[in-house]
Amino acid sequence: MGEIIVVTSGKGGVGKTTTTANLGVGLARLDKKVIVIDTDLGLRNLDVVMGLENRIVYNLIDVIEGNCRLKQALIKDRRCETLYLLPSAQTRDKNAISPEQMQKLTGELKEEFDYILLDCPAGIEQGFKNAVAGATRAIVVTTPEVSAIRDADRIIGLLEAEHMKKIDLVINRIRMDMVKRGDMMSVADVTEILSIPLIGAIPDDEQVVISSNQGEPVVGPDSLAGQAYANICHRITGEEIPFLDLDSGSGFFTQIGKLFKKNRR
Amino acid sequence: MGVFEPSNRQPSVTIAKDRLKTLLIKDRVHCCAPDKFGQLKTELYRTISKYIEVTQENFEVQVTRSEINILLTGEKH
Repeated sequence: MGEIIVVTSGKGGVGKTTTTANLGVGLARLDKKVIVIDTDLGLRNLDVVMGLENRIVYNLIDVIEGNCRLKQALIKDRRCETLYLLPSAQTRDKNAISPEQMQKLTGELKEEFDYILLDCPAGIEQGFKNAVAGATRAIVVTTPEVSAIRDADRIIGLLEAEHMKKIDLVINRIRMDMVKRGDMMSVADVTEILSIPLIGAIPDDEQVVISSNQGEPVVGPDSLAGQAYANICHRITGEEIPFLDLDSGSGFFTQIGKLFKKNRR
Repeated sequence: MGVFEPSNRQPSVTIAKDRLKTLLIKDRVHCCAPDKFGQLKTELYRTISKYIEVTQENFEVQVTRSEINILLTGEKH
């Protein structure tokens, strides 16, 4: 029986879709059978981040309305044998499906997949309710900013009210240089404020932007952000992995470089 | 803050955390203004002091997502 995980944040633009895509790839690389579902009706993105936008024939709505069989709508990933995408519909609005229909769909998928990842739309309206309905576990993504943390806090409140069994926190776009000079909340600050278990912290890494430009995943050993995503995947499966030292720029030469930069200001 | 330019600027993290504290309390108790929480605290203090011996120092109100906790700390009989 698979686990149904919703990736949510409240605020838009904090990295839900990127997180969903990379966790999907990362879990598939751990030999898990994974499906990622884009539940953002009207604004589909997950297919683009994954580089699968040209392969869409049917979508989530087609499956729910019975226009096609479930298997026909699933898109197999280009690189991972065990990863599938169920894309969202672009022409319909968020009221086209109900929480009950989502529950039924994820219930069916649970029989066949190890992990079902739901990419939740921003906001706390119908789309959020649909995405959350079938899930037994939630990953809340936030960035170290006042607005994102505030929205995350509200989302956590709503998830608690829905009796979500497990809620974990991902803090995205950490900049250690800013944390050090007291201009960005640290991982510890954000975790303390939101008071839910931390499952991962992703550094602000330009490789994330480069990868998404290319429609490639960033998860993997080649970048700090990629390693952080890979570690989250291990933690999702229940492994205990120590947290990364995000402070990669603390070597002697980087420090000397920084000193000169500072004094030039 | 460089070596040759000592700055008295307050780190923006302190400001961010203070603002968040107020915001989250507002959101959690659904109060419309930040000072409403102060009022709530004062009124709770007044009410409770009618029945229990409390001082400003050992009385604290905590708001979490699902509950409001009133803490009475310090030495008790």
